[in-house]
Amino acid sequence: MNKLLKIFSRYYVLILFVFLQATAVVIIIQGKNYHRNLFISTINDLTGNTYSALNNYRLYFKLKEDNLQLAAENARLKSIVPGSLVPINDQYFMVNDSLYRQKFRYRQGKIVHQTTNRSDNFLVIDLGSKDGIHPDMGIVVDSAVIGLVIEVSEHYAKALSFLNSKFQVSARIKRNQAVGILNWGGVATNAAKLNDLPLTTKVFEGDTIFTSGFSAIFPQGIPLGVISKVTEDQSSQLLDIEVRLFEDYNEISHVQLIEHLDKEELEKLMKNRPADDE
Amino acid sequence: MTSNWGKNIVWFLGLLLFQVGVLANLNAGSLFLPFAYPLLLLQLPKNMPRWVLLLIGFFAGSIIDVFILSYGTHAFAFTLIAFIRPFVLDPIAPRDSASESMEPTIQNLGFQRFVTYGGILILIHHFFVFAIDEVDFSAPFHFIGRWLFSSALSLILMLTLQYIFNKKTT
Repeated sequence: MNKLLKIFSRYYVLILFVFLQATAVVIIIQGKNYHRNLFISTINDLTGNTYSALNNYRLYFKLKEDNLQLAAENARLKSIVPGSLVPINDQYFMVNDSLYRQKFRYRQGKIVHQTTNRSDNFLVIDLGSKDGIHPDMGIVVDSAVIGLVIEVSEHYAKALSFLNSKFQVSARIKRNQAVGILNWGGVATNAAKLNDLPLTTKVFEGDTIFTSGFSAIFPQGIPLGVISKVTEDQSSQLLDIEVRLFEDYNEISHVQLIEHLDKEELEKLMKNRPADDE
Repeated sequence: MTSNWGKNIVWFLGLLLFQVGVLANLNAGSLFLPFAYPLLLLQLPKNMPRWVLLLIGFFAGSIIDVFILSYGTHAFAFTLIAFIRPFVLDPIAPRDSASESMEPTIQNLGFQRFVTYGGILILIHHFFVFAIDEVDFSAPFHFIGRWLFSSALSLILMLTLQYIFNKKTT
């Protein structure tokens, strides 16, 4: 025992160092599996409020672009709404129509914090559980998929950015309806890669791609980008397709959060399948 | 000593605000990602017990992690340089009894010594921050460029902050 104490008193700095580093490594590994955060919640109202306060100043420098963007969006929306929009309250809009049923509901939110220069980027939105936001809601703008909510506090939500190695979205080429998986290649903030298309698919530079709607998160038909380069990868027998995105993720500050109203029903149905693809 | 703690807490809050409010919004391309907060650790008194350094490194790093959503990355890198600091500082700092409680700032160490001391620690710190963030090392030159350019920019920022806010003390 005495000997043990002696060793401890001699090497306590080293022991403390190893202990702290081991803790940090555990947190890093936890963070890499973002949906399995057992003991650390990185988003709370303190950090959210700090971003929000700082963001108030930052937004002043972007007022002009934001106004242009919002005006363009307004114009587009005005041209497509049916005449029967009924405001239920100032947050939600529902279309009363006996032929159509509402499947997606949109909420306007603001990015208060985001990173774009790491390999795994995240963003924070100024809406939280009190505003009816919950994990797995999609985030979009007019012509881009922005991210996916993974964690919420009372007033803020943290989301996985499209600029994250773990994010992918199913995308469809407009001209021939071929479906592939779009994910960020990890380089520029306005470029991405379209994967999983076999060599036999006819793909040309300049083809436009849209979301396919093959998920319970994003609706179909959101324009994403234009194919900028196609190369054949003989080893994997797949096409290597580069895409130039319509939006630069550095420039975005106002976003829409999507609630899929049939999500639970859809997921229940998927779960009932025999578990052969586990 | 108490005023020293107060001073360092003000330094930390200032550096945190600078990191989250200014540097995090700096869109200077993916090669320039500076971190100015390690300055906190660099200028703690030379005779600070090593276990205190380690705890400060871990907790200050964790606070940065929480704010910039980086999950343990900065806690790891900052604790590491807290551990290494004495090995770098001891051979560089002037050796006399009066300098035991000296704060290793640019004013006290001199330009050349501080750049050597700070440079080594910043290079180690930034290397681990960027390496942990990297998913696969598919673009090694981009990684090395980001590491060297960001380290240089961080060092310049820290020198500037010291010239602005530190008074010469011995």
